[in-house]
Amino acid sequence: MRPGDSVSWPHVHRPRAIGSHAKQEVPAIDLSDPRVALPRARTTAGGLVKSLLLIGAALTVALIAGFGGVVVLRLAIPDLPAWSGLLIGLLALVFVLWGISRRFAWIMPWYYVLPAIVFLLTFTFFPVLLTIWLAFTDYAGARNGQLSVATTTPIVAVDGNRITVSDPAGLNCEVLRNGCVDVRAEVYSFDLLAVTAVDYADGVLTLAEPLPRGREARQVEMFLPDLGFEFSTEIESVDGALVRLVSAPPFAPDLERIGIQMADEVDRRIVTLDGAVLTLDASLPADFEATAIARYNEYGFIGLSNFVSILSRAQRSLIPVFAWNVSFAVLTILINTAFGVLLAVLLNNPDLRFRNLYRTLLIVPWALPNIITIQVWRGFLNENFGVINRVLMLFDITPDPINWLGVAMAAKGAVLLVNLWLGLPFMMTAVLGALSAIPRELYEAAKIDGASAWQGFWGVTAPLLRTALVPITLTGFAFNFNNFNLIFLLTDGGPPVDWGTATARGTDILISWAYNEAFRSQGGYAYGLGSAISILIFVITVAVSLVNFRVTGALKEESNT
Amino acid sequence: MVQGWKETMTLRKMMIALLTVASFGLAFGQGLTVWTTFGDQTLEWLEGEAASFTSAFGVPVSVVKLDLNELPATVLRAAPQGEAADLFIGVPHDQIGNMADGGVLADMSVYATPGYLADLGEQARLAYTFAGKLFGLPMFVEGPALIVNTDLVPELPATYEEMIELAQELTTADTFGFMFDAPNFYFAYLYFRTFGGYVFGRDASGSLVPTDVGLASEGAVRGVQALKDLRFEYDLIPAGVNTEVANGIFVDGSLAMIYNGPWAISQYRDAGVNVVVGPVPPMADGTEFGGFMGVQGVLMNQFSDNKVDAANFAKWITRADAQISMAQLSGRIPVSEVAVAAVGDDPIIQGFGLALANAEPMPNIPEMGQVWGPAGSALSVILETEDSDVEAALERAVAEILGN
Repeated sequence: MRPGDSVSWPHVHRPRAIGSHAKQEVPAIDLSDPRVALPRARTTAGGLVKSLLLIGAALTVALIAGFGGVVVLRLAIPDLPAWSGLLIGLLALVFVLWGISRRFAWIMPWYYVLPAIVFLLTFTFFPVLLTIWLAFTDYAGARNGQLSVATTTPIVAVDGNRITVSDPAGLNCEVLRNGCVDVRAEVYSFDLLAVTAVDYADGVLTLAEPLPRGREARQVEMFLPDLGFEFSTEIESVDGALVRLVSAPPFAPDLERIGIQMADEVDRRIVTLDGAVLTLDASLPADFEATAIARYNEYGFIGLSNFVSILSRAQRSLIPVFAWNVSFAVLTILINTAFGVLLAVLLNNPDLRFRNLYRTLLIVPWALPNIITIQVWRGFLNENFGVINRVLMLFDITPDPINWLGVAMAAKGAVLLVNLWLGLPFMMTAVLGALSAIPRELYEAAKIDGASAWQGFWGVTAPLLRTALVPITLTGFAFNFNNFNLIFLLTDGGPPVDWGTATARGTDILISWAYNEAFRSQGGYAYGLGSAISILIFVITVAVSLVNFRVTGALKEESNT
Repeated sequence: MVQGWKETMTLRKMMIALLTVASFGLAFGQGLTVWTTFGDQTLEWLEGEAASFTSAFGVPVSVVKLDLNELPATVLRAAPQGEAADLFIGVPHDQIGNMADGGVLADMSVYATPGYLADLGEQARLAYTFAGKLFGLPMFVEGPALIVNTDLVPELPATYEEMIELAQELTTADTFGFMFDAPNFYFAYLYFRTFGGYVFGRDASGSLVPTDVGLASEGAVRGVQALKDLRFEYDLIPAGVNTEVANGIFVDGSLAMIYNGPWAISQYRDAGVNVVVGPVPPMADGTEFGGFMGVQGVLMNQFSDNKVDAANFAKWITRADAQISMAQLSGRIPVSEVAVAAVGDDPIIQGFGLALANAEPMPNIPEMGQVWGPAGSALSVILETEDSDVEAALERAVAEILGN
């Protein structure tokens, strides 16, 4: 009986009946269609949407409790570490979940998948959303949202919320997308007082005169004559002329040479910069003696600029890199499959002696860590000192040494060669497995029909291998399309070529190009640009995969063919 | 029995819990963490200094080694999250602008004592000064010089031309005459600068102008042509030679002359190679050779929660005594004038001193970060084939540096 032919399903009671009406006669269950016969889980009673809404609400409450809890508790305990928010959030989550489960008992099974949902949100959704957001910003090393100490510029005059600085160029506003307009800033009040002390004992310094009021005394510098060393320590408290130090100097200080750092700072926003005059969003506190101002490295939304800049330079980067990326993945799969099938067919011959030994030896590349073997290959491929060129020249295969890693074409060949070495064991093992599933009788029948070994391969082995090879080659293509390890370790994307740029070189694939843009160019850290490339890679990968699936028919069920 | 075993288990659990809490306390509270790019002897020196600092001040210091290529990037990523060390030691000054712009470096002007500043060489102070602030305490100056194997070259040639001739004679089946990592812009700058090229021009006040890049100037083209001649005209540096390869041959004793820095000296000494250090000899017309030099020192993390102890350690390892022991150990030139006077008669230090007298400190503005990649790419392309177009490749690199 084929699954669709079942006639018994209308007689099967709804699963609910099995539990609640136990006394009722249980009809015979026809197991030919498990979808109908097996009891339906009661737990979906609430529905998917309702369950997800409840879970989402619980997580939101926990998130708010975590953040809010830290903010509130910091009012009482200023030094509260940030991770305590995690604990508060977790407690809140447990409490909320318990509450929900009391009201909606059917939600219990969802709690088993809750950790998975949280991890999915944290490690997959969050990075993806962050990448998408960054792709539309100008985030980079010099625009990372941090306070830029390098822009600290002395203040010469203060008039309400208008501040005159000595050197407006010092604020280095031109690297920000709008200049110094609506930029967060820190205004400092700093002074180093040279004072004398009359006594020092047990971590307490007695100054000749009490410290001036207003600014906070933060740090003491004292010279230790016994060590010939200028020692710094923080101040725990000041009581008139008594200064209590956080850590006591190991030797007695020179009481004539004491320096005390007085400092204070306030947070403001720069509204505009006009010549040397800055306008702040609010005036400074009355007794605040402003000495300097530093701005933050603001970053923000810049629309499609990153994509425009990538596409405007596509001729030298995106297009050649994409072309090589596709040919790399396709050629790798073709070469590896060809060699894998060849070796597997040879090793599958039961008449071959020591074939288990060969199999074991051929699996070795798989057992060694790539990170080591690729480095070894780098050494092998050295033009003048590598073993490969020496062997080639010994047998007069090539008159001059091949500059494997220094010429783009040779480097591409080297990448394919090393990837063959790395990928062959997997291909061979997979094909061997598929081969063992082909019945011997088919070959015998072919032989009786007078087929040669060659005809046997094309007539029997090849068609039967196809089913097994399609998924392997598809995953292999997807893996190699983003095979960052190999490129990074073997050629590091090099050699540089005259048609490329410093970040898109001879063997760079899309992902290594994105890495170079994000972490190596523009002084290192053009995350915005790198994220934009990542998004382009995603679009390209999806397109390639769709074409791939369409061409190979992988979206259809293999068993039907 | 069972009861006793259970008790030991709880006791053990409690001890483990206590230890965990204690180690957390150590990690977050007292103690300093230092990231360094030092290796071998200099790392041992740093660990020794850390131990003496701990015994004097009671502050534990843990030293972690990082690769020079990844330290600045790691700091920029990790420091704002509070996950970077308190101090970074051994960062060449060309990274200063980049890191300071990212907001991860503390202004160390407040920690530099008047005594230290008075003793500090002018060039070192300028190298570590960015945007008018001292972003670190310099420790030593280093840069490449001509290192000669005296077993193969008994007498230093007087001119560059003679040196090339000698190198050609010494390039035989078993030995090589002169080699260095030519496609590496750091070393290749010797040829750029000597022939009139430059990285960034300077305005009237002496500040670097990031829009004036002189790597494709007429002098730069001539210099790179001279560099290219080493490979294709004089057959001295075959393709595939990088620092490791050249170093390996020099350590074997089969390379007569190498252009390399003091970091390699201990390796040569350990291998038993007799070396003399000096400048690349001047050309017949009297032009002196000079490339890049770098200043290394101590940087402080702006996000460190232990800045005061960190400042004490920074001052501790930059004192003149420490610089003297560092110099004697590693051939680096101290930045303290007292220390320079104390180690001036060491032939290795003297040799590097002479070689670096003509050298230029690497630019420390953040735009320098954009120079290394394109310049190195251009050199690779130029040195790849004999018929490469030097001028076109350099012009492309300059366009890329300027962001066009």
